[in-house]
Amino acid sequence: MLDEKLLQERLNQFKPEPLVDFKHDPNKVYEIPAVVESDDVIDLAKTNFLGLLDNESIKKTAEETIRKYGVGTCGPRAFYGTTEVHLMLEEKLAEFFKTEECIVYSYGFVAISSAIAAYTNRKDIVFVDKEANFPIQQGLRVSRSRIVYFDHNDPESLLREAEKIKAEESKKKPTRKFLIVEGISWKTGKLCPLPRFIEVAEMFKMRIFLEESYSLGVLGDTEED
Amino acid sequence: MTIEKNREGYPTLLDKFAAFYSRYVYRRIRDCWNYPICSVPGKDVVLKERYTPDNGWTFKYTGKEVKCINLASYNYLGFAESTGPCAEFAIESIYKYGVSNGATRIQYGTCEMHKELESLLTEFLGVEDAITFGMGYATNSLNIPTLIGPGCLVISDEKNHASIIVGIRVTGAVIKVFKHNNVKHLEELLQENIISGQPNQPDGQYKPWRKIFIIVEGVYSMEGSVVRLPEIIALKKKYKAYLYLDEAHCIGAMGRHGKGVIDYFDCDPKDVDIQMGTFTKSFGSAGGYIAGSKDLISYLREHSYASCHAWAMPPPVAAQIIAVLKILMGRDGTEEGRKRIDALARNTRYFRRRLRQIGVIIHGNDDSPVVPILVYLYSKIVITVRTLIENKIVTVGVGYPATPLYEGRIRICLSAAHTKEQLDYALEVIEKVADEAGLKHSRRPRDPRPVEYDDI
Repeated sequence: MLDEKLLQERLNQFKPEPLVDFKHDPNKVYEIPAVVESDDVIDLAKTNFLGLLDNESIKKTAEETIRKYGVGTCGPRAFYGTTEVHLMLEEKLAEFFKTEECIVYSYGFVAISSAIAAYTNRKDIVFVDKEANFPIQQGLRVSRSRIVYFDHNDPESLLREAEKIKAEESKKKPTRKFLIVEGISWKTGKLCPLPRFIEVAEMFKMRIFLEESYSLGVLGDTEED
Repeated sequence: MTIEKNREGYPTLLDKFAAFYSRYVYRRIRDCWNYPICSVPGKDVVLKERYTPDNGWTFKYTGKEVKCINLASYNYLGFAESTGPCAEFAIESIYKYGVSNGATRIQYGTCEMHKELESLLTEFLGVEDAITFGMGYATNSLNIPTLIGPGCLVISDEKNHASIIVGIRVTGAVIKVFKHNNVKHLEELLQENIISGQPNQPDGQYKPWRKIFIIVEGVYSMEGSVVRLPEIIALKKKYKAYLYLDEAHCIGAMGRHGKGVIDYFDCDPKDVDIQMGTFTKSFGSAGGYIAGSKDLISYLREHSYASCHAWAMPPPVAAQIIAVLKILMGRDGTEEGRKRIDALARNTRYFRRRLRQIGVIIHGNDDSPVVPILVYLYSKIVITVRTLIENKIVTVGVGYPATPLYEGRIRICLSAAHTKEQLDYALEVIEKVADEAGLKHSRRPRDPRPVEYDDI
């Protein structure tokens, strides 16, 4: 039974905090606008590693794509939102990375966090670099896996942590394990010692997520980071 | 569909149920989904014809293209167009600003397109301010955690979209789920939880909640139902809660001015604390927005994960939305916006009434352009989708895990672009399939009077 009196009393007592603890300041610039480049102004703030942002042939292709498919897809991939362009892109990417297949997402942040949450669940153990970027952290929070941190870019630290976990694990049914590393760290800009990480991961039968937001197209001679 | 290689001795990537389900249930019927297209998803859509030589493990393309009537895309106002003022404006913006800004909104990624879009949107929605993001899903999943935290209570509709569920799962708040659109259950949960306060307090002390949030959608994409907004606003006021309204499927598609479900019920936009919506549906573009008070929006500009960690909305995407907004607001000097809003409303009512006459069970509000036809069984989803494609009509089949196992449905999304001839042809084919597959489950008395399209 609902205690009407108590409800009324507690409702009167209930003083919710404001929606956001924040006051808009009309004199403040909240967003720094894009830089317009000229002879005296060079924009070093953008990530434009290969100078493709202003490429005319890319613009032309974008125009042709809109003239055939329009701007939006009006639906998710499963519901007639997959166009030939997506298929072509995925095929080219798989060829470029020498993988069996590839899937593209429309938003970088969500690609990282969704992929992690799609494969990992609360029964798994995920080994993560201490300096892992924010999208990775978000993916892990959604997955609710057991998270084990190791020192930044240090495969030996990973080895120690993995051994600790192995010691406490039952021999019969090993837990599924994952390792998440970044090619170039968002936070420190350092390159990860991937070959050694792969060695350690194979020793403990971990599957590897490699996050290449900042290293793709930047490192390696042609196609390999 | 493949099986993992070079991972001998590893625990399997998929658990037993997922492996069984994907290989032996979904694989056999997956030709009903992910059909690639090679045109704009307008009133018609051109499929890239494919077949499976091995029962769904792989697909091959025949090289042919098949034009079908499109009852699947969320193209409510028919703005999925490759020609006309919106497409031209988007193309123009590519040459002026490029395809990407290469930076986040907060640092060097904000261009005039974003400013113009947000000021138009603010005016359209009748709010103090609005902020836009590059992806609709991320608008929910990345902004909810910046607004809600530990010590808060979230009361969420059971049919809320995955992006909301992901967003609230990481907040650390206590989550309670109320039965779909059931205002009575919502009120009971509010009362119970206001009495109990925050859980796990030392010595059973009473500690009130920091904030209470009610999260609902305007039109539910799998149910076709419309939120009972006026009653929920009354509850939110009575119990001092904040209201978060996701208008992904109703902005543009509902209300006399296309301003969504707030407009449909003639509510005051100020009574909804956080208005969220997307541009992927009615606007034929991509991305999403949050609208509300100046304090709220400036806070998000500074703190939203999506403003700080993700790239700004690409200029052509913003341009498409600006062009659509101008049409809806009559700024283009024509009646085009008005006409499209009216056409969608007419198509919706006509199609729903005719479906009722056929005798299939449909869910949702009479004015909702999302029309789910309940077919219940898995095999009936498959036979319906396949037969409709053979007859050059595409629809969306929805089954487990998006719905409960025995509540499979065929979902139809109406558009302002559909012609009466197209709808009549589709209804004729649906009636034939309903007879053959046994879909006429409705026991409602049928109104035998003919439905006149022009009188609606």
